[in-house]
Amino acid sequence: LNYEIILSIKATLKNQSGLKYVSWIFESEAQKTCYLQERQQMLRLCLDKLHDSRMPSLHRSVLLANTMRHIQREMTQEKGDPPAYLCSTTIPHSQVFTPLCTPEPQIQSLDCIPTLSDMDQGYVDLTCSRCAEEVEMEIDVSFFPSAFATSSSSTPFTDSSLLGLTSLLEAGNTLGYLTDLSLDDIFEDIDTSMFDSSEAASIRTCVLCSVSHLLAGDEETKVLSDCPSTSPLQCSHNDFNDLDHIMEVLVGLV
Amino acid sequence: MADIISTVEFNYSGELLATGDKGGRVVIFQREQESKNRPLSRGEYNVYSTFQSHEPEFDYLKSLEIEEKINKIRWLPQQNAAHFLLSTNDKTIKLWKISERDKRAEGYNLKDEDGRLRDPFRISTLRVPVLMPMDLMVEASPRRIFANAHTYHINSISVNSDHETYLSADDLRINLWHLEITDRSFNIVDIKPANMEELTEVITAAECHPHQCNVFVYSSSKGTIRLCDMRAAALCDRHSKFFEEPEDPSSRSFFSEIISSISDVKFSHSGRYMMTRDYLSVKVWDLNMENRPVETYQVHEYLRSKLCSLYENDCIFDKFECCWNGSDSAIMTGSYNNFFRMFDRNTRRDITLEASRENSKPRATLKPRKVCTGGKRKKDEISVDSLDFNKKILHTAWHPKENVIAVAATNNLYIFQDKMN
Repeated sequence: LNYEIILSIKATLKNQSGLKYVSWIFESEAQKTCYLQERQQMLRLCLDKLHDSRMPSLHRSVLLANTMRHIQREMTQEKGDPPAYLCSTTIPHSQVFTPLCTPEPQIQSLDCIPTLSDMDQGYVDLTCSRCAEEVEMEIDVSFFPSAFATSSSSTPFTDSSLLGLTSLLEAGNTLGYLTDLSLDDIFEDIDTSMFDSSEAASIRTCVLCSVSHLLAGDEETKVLSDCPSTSPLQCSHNDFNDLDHIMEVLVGLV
Repeated sequence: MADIISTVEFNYSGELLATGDKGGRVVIFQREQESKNRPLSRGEYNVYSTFQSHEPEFDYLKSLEIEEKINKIRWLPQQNAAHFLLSTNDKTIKLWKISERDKRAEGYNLKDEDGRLRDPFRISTLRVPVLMPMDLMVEASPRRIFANAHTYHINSISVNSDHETYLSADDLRINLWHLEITDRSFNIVDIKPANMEELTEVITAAECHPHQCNVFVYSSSKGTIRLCDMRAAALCDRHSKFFEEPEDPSSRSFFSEIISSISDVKFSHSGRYMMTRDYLSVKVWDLNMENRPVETYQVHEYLRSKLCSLYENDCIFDKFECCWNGSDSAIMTGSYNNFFRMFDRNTRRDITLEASRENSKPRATLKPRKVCTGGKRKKDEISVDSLDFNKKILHTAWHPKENVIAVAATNNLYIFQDKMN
């Protein structure tokens, strides 16, 4: 793999909340696609390497986690306040807009929302941020079997946060990615969570889940191999059957 | 069978050179005395002593194996005929005494020469044992074992200028030891957050100041160095000085943080400067200036465009060391393809040399190497794409007084000397 990114200007922009963030301004579509692909690849590699227990090293894990956090921050900044270049284009399938695990869905198709099968191979047209948010929500709906504590009719946005499968769907997490989270907090604001941007701050990331377990133990190797929460990440490459296993384990945790 | 060398260190006089390897062994070389009989063997290094310093251990509580790999060796200043060194693996530091024995007592009363006990009733006369010369034997014995003080992996040890204490650093903590006391150490730095999920930075290296016994520095994975004064507080969590070069925003990439992680920090012999090694460069800092280094040397800038592949094959996490020469006028560090680099601080000249058997015969002069970064490759140049990233020189050492260097290339040790006319 040999990517070369030629970027023109890097600008400091302000999103609607007044937070400064740095964004890339691309000269051409090809550049942007290339950049997004590389970023995606980087993220995937980060996850793979974090799970590689052959070389346990706190130093290495911290560097990987920081890199991953940086990429996620960049992704959520883009999503939360889409800059001009993002609004009018079709971008390749990116993990920003899908959960890491892509199960067989029963998604209600709305007009502007593609089916998951589209997302699997093709392109997501995100011409408006509203669409994007709806996509997120729809994805969450079908995820969780009834074994899970909450009812399926309730807003599943927070449900998914428990599993951490919507790590990359966060918008404007101002508290940082590794904030502590109690189950009670999640259930309290169930109704308004998808509309209230501050709620996003309490959502735990999938990465957080794995990284926190990674770093929680004194010796990360052992923890990594035993921690069931890391399996949601692994299932990104597995099929839907593994999701059942994950659910069982996590319910056991809860 | 030779194992991968994991540390190289000259002692204070340069007479001895110690290497530690991945198998937990320490091999010490001694410089031959120059003699008129063999003028050509000016100061060759021969094996002096070999011993097993650390064995693999198993932590039953965490179900983890503790590697026997020697991470660092540091010599103590010589105080008597014996030599002392500290060697450490991930968890345990050991003080070894290396002593010579060239005499043997003969003529004991109660036992024969072969050790068998003599029947006391048969002894009719008493004799005084006499010391007889014997073949030189070099013995290594562990004198102190400093264990159970580090939860995380030890990356550095450094002997203090008071010659009584030393520090040991792991990913999150630094401890101060007294050489005589093994059952307790004093924690002087602790960067472990209350909530481990908030951890974003680890300690990568630490060293005591060469003259001021109250001063030490430690580097971090974020490219910063903190200088601490032990007189200021018992726990040196607040630094006295904080060294960080502001990041160039135009060169920011996904890899910026990883390549800024400092892999080694070394004070100059004078104590006025310190040198740090990150993935692509070596920086010299004036201890009186915290906001930027005074000198920056690019080790292998041609790798900047290859960071993606170096990240994939994990080479980006390689930890290179660096060292000063005796007069602080030159610095040396390793690279890939068995290349190592030397920079002259005064003339600003630099040279790339190769440590390999094919390219160097004994007594031959090393030929400077050059990496071709683009365009037409000249004869004898090597293109970036044909570099062997498995041949990495992570550990080098410079004789404290002379121009003699030791370079560890995987499982081979090369010793080079200045050519005498």
